[in-house]
Amino acid sequence: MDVTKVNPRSMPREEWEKTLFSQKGARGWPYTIFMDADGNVVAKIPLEGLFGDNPEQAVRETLAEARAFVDLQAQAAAHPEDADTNARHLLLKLKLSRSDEDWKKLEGFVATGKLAPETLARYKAFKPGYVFDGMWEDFLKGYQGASNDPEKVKALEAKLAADTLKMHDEALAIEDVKNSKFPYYWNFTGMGAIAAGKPETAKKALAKLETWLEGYKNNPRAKAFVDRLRKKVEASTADQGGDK
Amino acid sequence: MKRIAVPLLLLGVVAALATAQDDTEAKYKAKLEKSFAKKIPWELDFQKAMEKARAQKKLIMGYFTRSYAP
Repeated sequence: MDVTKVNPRSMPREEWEKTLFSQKGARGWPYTIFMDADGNVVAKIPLEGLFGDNPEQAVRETLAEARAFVDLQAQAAAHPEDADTNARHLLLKLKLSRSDEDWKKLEGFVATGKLAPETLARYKAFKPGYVFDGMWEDFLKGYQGASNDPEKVKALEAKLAADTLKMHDEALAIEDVKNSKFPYYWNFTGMGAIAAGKPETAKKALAKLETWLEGYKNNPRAKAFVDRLRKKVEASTADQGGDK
Repeated sequence: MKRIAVPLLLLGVVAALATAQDDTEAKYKAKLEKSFAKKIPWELDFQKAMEKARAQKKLIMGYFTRSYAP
């Protein structure tokens, strides 16, 4: 397969879904994905590929994650009877590439008695991240077909914002989200909160985004990203006062 | 930095609203002239990247960018 110069704004959806970008689960541009020699995704640099203020460190850390995942994959394959290792492998795999089949396998471990229900319950906090990934994928697919129509894009963003706000409490169970490593989540929560008449909740989302921005002080795009939400929050607070 | 991955460059061309195709093409060409694109020996064929990764026992690093992204 040749690397293609693609234009998502004009490609039919079925063609778009054949692109490497779509198949490997990239979420924006730029985006860095590490794969094994068979093309399976083993690590990603998320956050629209913004490397932060130390790109070499970001790449090294992600490569270390990739190697750890490849090792875990080998252990799981060598020991199919080891439910805990296989569960850990599936969870990391789900973080990299959404797969309803893999999620069912995970739940299947409990059904067949290979994994204790309380162990799966500990892992269940991960599910909202998986759900958010799905929402984000749907957003990108919709964007691909509608990006030249500002009203449709606005409607897509509003839906993602509302859905993100709805899963807010569950999402906080995910370490990466709670520790502000998931800026798109906080951006959309902020937008959803503003639309729902909850400026105080939007301010909290903005605070999380500003914490994330501390690692990107030299990145004007990251700053512009946060400034966009900040202006909306300021305008909303001026209009609405506190949460309804 | 020692090379531990086969670099694979994937370029997307995303036109801004009301931008002419020529402008997008120009941005694409300008992106290929940037130092990161010229200094790293990117592989532009995914099948070849997988073959090289297999032969060299390395991972593949895929970098997706667009005409007006970093």
